[in-house]
Amino acid sequence: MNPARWNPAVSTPPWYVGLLVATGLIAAEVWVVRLLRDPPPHSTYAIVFMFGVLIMSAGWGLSLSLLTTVASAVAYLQVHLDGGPLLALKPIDVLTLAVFLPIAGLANVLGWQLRSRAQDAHQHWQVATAATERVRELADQQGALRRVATQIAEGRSPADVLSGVADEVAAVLHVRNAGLVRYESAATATLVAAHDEPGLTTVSVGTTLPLGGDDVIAMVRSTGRPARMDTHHRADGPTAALVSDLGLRACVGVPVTVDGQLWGAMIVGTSGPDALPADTEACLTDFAELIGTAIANAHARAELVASRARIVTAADNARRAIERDLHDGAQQRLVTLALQVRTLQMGIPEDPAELQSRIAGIGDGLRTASDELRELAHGVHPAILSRGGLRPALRDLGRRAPLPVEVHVDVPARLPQAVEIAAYYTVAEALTNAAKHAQASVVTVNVDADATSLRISVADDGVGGAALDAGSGLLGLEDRVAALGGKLRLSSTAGAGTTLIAEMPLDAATAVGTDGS
Amino acid sequence: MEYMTNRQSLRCVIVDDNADYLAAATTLLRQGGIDVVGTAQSVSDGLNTVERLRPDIALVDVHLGEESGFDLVAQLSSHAGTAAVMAILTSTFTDLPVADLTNAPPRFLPKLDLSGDAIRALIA
Repeated sequence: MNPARWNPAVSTPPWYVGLLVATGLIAAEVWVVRLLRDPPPHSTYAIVFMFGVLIMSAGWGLSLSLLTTVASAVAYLQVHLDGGPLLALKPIDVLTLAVFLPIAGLANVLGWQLRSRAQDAHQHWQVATAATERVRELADQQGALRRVATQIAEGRSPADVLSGVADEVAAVLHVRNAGLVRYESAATATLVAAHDEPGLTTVSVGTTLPLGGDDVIAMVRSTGRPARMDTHHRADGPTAALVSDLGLRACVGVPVTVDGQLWGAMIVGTSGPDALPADTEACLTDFAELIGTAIANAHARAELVASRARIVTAADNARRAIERDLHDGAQQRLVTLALQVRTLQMGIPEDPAELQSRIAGIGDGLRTASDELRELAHGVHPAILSRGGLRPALRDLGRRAPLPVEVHVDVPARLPQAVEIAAYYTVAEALTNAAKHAQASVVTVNVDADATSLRISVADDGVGGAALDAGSGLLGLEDRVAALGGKLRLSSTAGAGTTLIAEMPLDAATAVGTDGS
Repeated sequence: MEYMTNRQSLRCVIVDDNADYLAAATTLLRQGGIDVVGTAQSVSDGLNTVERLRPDIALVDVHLGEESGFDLVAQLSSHAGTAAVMAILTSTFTDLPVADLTNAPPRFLPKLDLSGDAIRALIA
């Protein structure tokens, strides 16, 4: 049923139309009565005037229909007395009026009652229809949200999920345009997904939008809250101009938050003259939360893949470095020594002092080769760590460092092997960085543990300004610590020294992969 | 070949990135009757030295730090001035599959087998 269809029981034409209709009806009735001037009795003419009264009672309000009744009575008398004085009224006329007026009045009242009941019923029907419509819209929204959530749970690529979200949002909110932008810097955002009705001007995905002017994208960016503009008339800025070019009037945007940070905004726009409904923000926010989850999942997955790749690459690089060290170092030295021995063998010098010096040279070379092999083995895995645990290994590290190191270790004699190794390399890398980059005069190493976690802190008094980036070697440490469920934090203010803090859990879950020795 | 008639006439340049090895090999080969006329430690250095001294043979280490001895041998054979020099690849590996690593397999001598006689046997 179409509630907008005209229904005479509930919709009333304007009063002046009623006045015209009533006047017309009475004039027509007077004309009919004049035609029927004969035969008598005259009193039956009054019936003719009931016609207009009934129509007015059915179609207009009480006052207009009562007015028609009175006007009809006057018209009847006027015709009947033919313009003569009112005192010429006969008893039969008075009787006619006495019958006509109550019946017409009753018709007025009944018509009025009928109309007001029909109006009530229509109103109730409208309320019920609106409620049904609202329930259907909510069901549509829930369905759309569920479809998006399912896509996210299935691990679809963010690009798929986001373009799907734009389509769902446009369908659910009945808007022409729906889009998702990602904030890049303080001044720009990039369109990463969009739904546009076919046949309209569109903005292609990947377009960079400047944030300088009056538009909801800039408003969400600056407030971090939902924003709406009911019109872009007199709005300034390139993005507002773009919105106008697209033929859009009203826009609503809500923030998309990923891991607590403002990531982007979900925007809808419509071309109609009306503002977007008041619940648009709430509905968009539901979708924005799902988008945030999808993006956070994708970030986590990408980070996991990247850290796996880094761990594998780091292991490969380490093997390559060991191969090169062995080949260029110890093996080359041994080959050289072999050549020296063969040289001696082919021609032993007459002078015993010369012979002695050359044999001593070969002996020194052999000792150096042995030292190199020992250092190399230590680099592969420090024997002191596997034999003595963290405390002696870290003290040994401190002694080997080229700058003064204070080492305080307060941990149980043995910890899970993976934790010991990670702790050892964390301190080793931090000391290497302090010696190489920090220009520090002293480094303090503190390691302590409680029942659940190990905490390492390496602080220097150097120049600061270090970062957890690829070049520092700290990224590999972060991967190693993260693989054990731990966290690495770096605080390094220029001029205030560098402090590296690593925390690793010691509970049973992390004991996986350790040999327990 | 003409230089087989006079052992003293075999002139050699050694190219290797390890200075200790260069010294030991020079001593060994001189004692074995090879005239080591120069040494070099990189590809460009080796190319210049060989071009300048025009030796009979060039002993080229496969591993020249980050550079490759194969590249130097290829450049020596493609230069008109050095194409006549006989290149011999050397390595700390004793069983390097040289034929699998280059199109025009030069001669190969493991460093541990290095001696004047070994070189003469190789080019005979």
